Amino acid sequence: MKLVTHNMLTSKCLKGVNTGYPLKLVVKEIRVQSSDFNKEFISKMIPRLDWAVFVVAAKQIGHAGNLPDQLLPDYENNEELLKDVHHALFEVDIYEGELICPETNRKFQISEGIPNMLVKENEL
Amino acid sequence: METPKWNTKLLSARNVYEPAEDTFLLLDALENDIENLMKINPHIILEIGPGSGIIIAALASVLKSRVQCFAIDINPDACIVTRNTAELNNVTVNNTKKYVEVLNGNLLKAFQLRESIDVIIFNPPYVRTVNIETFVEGISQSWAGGENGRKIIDDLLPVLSKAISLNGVFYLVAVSYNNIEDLFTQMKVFGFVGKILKSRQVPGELLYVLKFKKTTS
Ligand SMILES: C[S@@+](CC[C@H](N)C(=O)[O-])C[C@H]1O[C@@H](n2cnc3c(N)ncnc32)[C@H](O)[C@@H]1O
Repeated sequence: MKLVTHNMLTSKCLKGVNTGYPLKLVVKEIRVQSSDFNKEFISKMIPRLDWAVFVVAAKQIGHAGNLPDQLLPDYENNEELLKDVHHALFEVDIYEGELICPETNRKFQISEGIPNMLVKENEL
Repeated sequence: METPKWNTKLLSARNVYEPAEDTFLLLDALENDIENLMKINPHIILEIGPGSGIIIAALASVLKSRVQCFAIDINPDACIVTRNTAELNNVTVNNTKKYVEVLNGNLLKAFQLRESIDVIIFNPPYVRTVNIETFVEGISQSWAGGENGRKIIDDLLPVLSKAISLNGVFYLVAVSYNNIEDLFTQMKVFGFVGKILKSRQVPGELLYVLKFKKTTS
């Protein structure tokens, strides 16, 4: 599971949970694999992210590079920044770990890179 | 688009929906529509219910580093097979791999809905069955669709417009008894205009691939 996915996931479908976002991350194994850097694609992805959540998660897993806490306005032209975003967002795979609901502490296992977001009928 | 490779042994050992007439109709429809798809310049593509994973793998290998592909299936075995299929068909550019992010989950329930997905594709369980509750595990979930085969489809439709970006599209496989006209009417209420992209008569079923576009107003 890449951080791009973490940025989009919520536990709000659980009974009694309001936002369920961001999910807490527990990392047991990380795998890093390089992938093609596409400048235009990364700049288009940035506005779709919750930036603050992304930076906190990237720092937590130790792959934040020089990512700033606040996004700078001319980020499209900042190749260094875009490369750091690319790396943290797409090249670091959380292979084993957990996602935890911030409100109920319900755990979602990440196993072999695949998060299990299924909830039982009685949890809805 | 090349027909993707998949591992038949893994597929049957894992109890996952085998590519069938509906799969290939969808693949054909997407292939014919690929230029239009490129025109909206998609960055995030999600397939719901990838099963074997050949649809999303085919798209990922065409669109390469321009998009991020996601696939979510309720069947954990389908998730494993989808990842395997994505790897089998991986295009390698400068020795780096393009991947598909695979998740195990139910429709869009685990996603934050922020109108950020450009393309959603779903070949749903569309077969009419008397009682969906008797089909809750494994392979039967890949086809059992409840009354008129609409149970799972109808679960998804109301949230689509909150998930799909402006100018985004939704591709859906359906069968005649799902009531195609009614699907168009429903989707109109949810802010989408639809059309039939492709249809094909196969033994026992008249299959459709529908395409819906989000309307601005
Ligand atoms: C008809 S099969 C299609 C498989 C593949 N896309 C294809 O075209 O060959 C339907 C798939 O949807 C999955 N599915 C069923 N209900 C689902 C749900 N609520 N959420 C996510 N996936 C679901 C099934 O496990 C199955 O893999």
